[in-house]
Amino acid sequence: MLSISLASPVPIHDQIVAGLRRLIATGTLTEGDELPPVRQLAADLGINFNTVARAYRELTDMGLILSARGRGTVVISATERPSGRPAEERRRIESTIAGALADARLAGFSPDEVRSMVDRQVQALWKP
Amino acid sequence: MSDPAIVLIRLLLLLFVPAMLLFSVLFVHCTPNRAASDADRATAAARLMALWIATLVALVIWGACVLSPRSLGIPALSWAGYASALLFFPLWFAFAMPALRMRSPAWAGPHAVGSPTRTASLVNRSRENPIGIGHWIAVVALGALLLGTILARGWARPFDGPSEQLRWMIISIVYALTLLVALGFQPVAIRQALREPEPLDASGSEELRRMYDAARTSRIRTMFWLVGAALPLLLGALLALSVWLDRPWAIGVVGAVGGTLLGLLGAWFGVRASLRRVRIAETRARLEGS
Repeated sequence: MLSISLASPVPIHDQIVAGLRRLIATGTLTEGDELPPVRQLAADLGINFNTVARAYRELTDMGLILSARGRGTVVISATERPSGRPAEERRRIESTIAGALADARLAGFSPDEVRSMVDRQVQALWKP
Repeated sequence: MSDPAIVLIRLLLLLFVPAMLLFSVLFVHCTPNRAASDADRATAAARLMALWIATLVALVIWGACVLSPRSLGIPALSWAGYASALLFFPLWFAFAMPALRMRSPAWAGPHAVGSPTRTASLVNRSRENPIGIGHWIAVVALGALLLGTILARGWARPFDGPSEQLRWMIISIVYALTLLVALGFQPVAIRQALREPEPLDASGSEELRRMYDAARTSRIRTMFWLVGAALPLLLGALLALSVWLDRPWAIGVVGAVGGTLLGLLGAWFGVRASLRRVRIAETRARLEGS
C-alpha cells in the first residue's frame, strides 16, 4: 500500500519515491513484483500522470525498477545503483541520520527513546 | 388521431417528458442532506432552489410546445415538445449534480471524501473486461445482418423513383457509419472504464475491492449493451423497416417504444452507477475513519 499526503510540504513525486524505496527496503516489494501502471496509480491517488511517471523515472535511474513495453513496471533489485563513491554514499547517509537525530532532539525525545526508534527501524529493515 | 403511432407518441409526450424533467429535482429532494456546515447547508438549499426554477422553466417550455401547435398551427412544435425531454441533461448536470455535491461530498468523486492522505494499492489487480469475444461477435453479426437487410432492398425490387433510391443510399451510408462509430467507440470507452480511479483505504480492504469490481463490471456491461449494442441495433431495425415497409405507423411505434425504453434504461443504469459510486466513497470514508 502506498500513501501520500497532500498536506505534506514534501513534493508528491518525492513522497512516491520515498514510499516505494521504503517498501523495497523492507522487503514488502521484492524482485519481480509488478507495479501498477503509471496511469492507474495516478488515477488511484488522484494526482497527475506526469508526477507518477517522474517518480518511476527516478526509481529507474536508481536501478530499483524497470519499465518495459508490454511487460509493465517491475522491481528489479533491492539494492540501489550507487550514485557516488562508497565514501560519498556513507557521508550522505550519515548526514541524513544526523538530520533525523537533530529533529528528534529538537522534538524533545530522550537518547533512549531515539535508540529504541532506531532499533525498531533497523529490525524492520534487516529482519531475517 | 386514428394513427396508433401518433396516439402513442402523444401519450409519451404527455407522460414521459414531464417525468424526465421532474426526475432531477425529485432525486435531489430524496437525497439526504449531509452538508457539513451551516454555510454548506445554505448553499445546498440555494442550489436546490435554482434546480426548481430551472425545472419550472423546462416544464413551461414543454407545455408551450405541447399546447401551441393547436393555437398557432405549427405541427413541428409538438416534436419540439417531445425533444424537450433532452432538457433533462442540463437539469441533471448543470443543476442537480452541483446540488447533490453540496448535500453529500461523496457525489464529488472518489477523492472528495476523507483525509488529505491518499492511498493506492500496489498490487497490480487485474481489472477484467467482462465483454468477451463472443459478445462482440453477436453484436457485430446482428449489426451486419441489419445492414445487409437495408442493402438488400436495393436489389430486391425496383425503386419507385430516384428520390426513393437516393433515400435508400443515404440510409445505407448513415447506418454503416453509425455502426462503425458505435462499435468503434466501445474499445476506447471500455479501456477508459478499466482505468478509472479505484483508491483503496489504508488497509486495502477486501470489501472495497469487491465494490469496485462490481461497479466497474456493471458500468462496462451497461455501456456495451446499451450504447454499443441496443442503440445501433434499434436504429438499424427502424431503418430496415423504413426501407422495406410502407407503414410509417409501425416504424413510429417501434421507434417510440424502443427509444423510450432505451432512455429509461439508460437513466436507470446511470443513476444506479452514480449511487454505487457514492456508496463506495462513503464506505472508503468509513474505513479510513475506523
